[in-house]
Amino acid sequence: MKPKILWIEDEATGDMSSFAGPVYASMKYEFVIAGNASEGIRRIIEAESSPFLAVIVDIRLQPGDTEEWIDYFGQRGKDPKAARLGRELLYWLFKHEQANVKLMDKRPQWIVNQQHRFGILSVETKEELKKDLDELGITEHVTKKEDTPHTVLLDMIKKLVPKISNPARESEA
Amino acid sequence: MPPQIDINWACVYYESLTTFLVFALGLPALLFQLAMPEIRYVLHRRPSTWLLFWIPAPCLAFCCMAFIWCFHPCPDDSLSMRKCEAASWLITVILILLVVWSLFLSFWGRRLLIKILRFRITRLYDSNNSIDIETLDDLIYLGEQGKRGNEKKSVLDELKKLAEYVIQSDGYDGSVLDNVIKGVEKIVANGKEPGCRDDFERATEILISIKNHLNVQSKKNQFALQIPMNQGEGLVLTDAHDYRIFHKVLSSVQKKTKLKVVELADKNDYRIVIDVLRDICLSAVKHEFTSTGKDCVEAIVPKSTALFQIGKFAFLEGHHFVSLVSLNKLDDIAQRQLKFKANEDVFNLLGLIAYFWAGGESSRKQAEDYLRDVKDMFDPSFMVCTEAAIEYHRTFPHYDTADKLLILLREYPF
Repeated sequence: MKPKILWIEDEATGDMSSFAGPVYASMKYEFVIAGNASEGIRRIIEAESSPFLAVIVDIRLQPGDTEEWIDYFGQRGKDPKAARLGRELLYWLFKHEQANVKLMDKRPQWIVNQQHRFGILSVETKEELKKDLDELGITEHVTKKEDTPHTVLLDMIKKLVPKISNPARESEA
Repeated sequence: MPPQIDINWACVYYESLTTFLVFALGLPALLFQLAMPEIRYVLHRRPSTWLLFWIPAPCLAFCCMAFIWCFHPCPDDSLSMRKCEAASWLITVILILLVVWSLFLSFWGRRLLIKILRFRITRLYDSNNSIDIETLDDLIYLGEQGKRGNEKKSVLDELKKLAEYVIQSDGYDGSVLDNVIKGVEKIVANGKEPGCRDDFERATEILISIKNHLNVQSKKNQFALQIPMNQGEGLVLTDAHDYRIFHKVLSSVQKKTKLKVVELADKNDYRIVIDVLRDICLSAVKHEFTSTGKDCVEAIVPKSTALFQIGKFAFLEGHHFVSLVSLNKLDDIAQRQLKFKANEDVFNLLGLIAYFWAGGESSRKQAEDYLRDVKDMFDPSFMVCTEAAIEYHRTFPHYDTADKLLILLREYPF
């Protein structure tokens, strides 16, 4: 089995093919893209029997079709920058009591104390997110800029998944 | 002295009344003619919906008669200021109402008609647990003929509501929505008026939500499928539909490898939704809607045949991102087994990799790197699997794919 990777990313930004291309070309990961917060949560919940080895989250996300996300997004003027649904998603996973979006109480078991599997790839700088990163216990963060190399996602995955679990491919890793 | 009724007055009165009535009757016909052809077609098929256009007729006729009545000569107080004022108000309000109604019909008539059709389908579904095909066809026709963007969106939105309604109802058995699924394809992926990017995304969203629901329903069937797969024994048939051809193709491999054929029951409850997702994906790739193509590919997993078809089409059309995503998904499926067995999933994977191999230098490099990583995972060997894949694709007959595989077999340094 290949390492399972989840990227929760607002596809409207157009980063999808430029950042995801190198990951697909590597052929080393079972790579799943969730295009909004609702789908991201759904994928995380469904992964209980086969967890993701790395999850990379964008801060600016669209809400998707879950009522709670849509409501919160609406309260924030339907502005992804103001709503920061990626941040809310991470708070729901790791600091449930501080989350502004109240989803179901039961969270997936596989994410408990697994902050090291999570990374953030967003336009927000580390300074802007410092408080949240400290609070959530997430250390891997990369800021998207104009000159960000298009291998940034692959590089983040390599950091988050230090040991490739596929024996046939260990030699290359 | 007030004017008295005489023959002249009666003639004028009669003529005016007739003119107003003819106008009142002609107005709906005029509005009807101004409607788009597809709306006229649906209205012709459903006389009950003509009411939309005929509502103003009796109102207008009544108001005209009332207006004339105001000027009707009578012995006392004829043509007083009060009556003139009332008549003026009346005629002004009539004109405003007519303009509002006409504008309403021109802007919202289509939407109103679509809502009426959807309402009728859900009402009939409540009473007999099946979808009224005739009404659904009309609804789909409006979407098919509608312009990309808002016109298609309004039909797709109603189909989404209909699908949600049916899925949430108790009587849903997995096949009721087949015509809705096919209809979604007709609306966005037709040659005459294909949808825009948003239409494709919306259509994909509907299909994925139906597929997710069906997926949950068929979990029990898949359990039987997983036992032999986990044990890593035998040839796994994932597609009962192609069983006969598949069995014939594999008999030679079976003799060589002494593998046992295991017949598995896959009820393919969601075959139609997968087929439609594949077709929408092909159409999206053609229109360069890469994101939709990727979404469809994700949704189609684990149907390797559909993934292969998308990957091949995208590769040949030069949309290499989508073909690369398909190749990844085929690899994901193959890697779920301990070894790459000689089965349909692996044949499809090899079929697609053969296109990469024969495509050009860069895509060949991609294929080389990949095969170097996985060639030891084949059991039986990579060469035997490739030979079996050639037979498999030749039998279907995917001659072009079989030819590409022959090139791979000839040129790969085993």
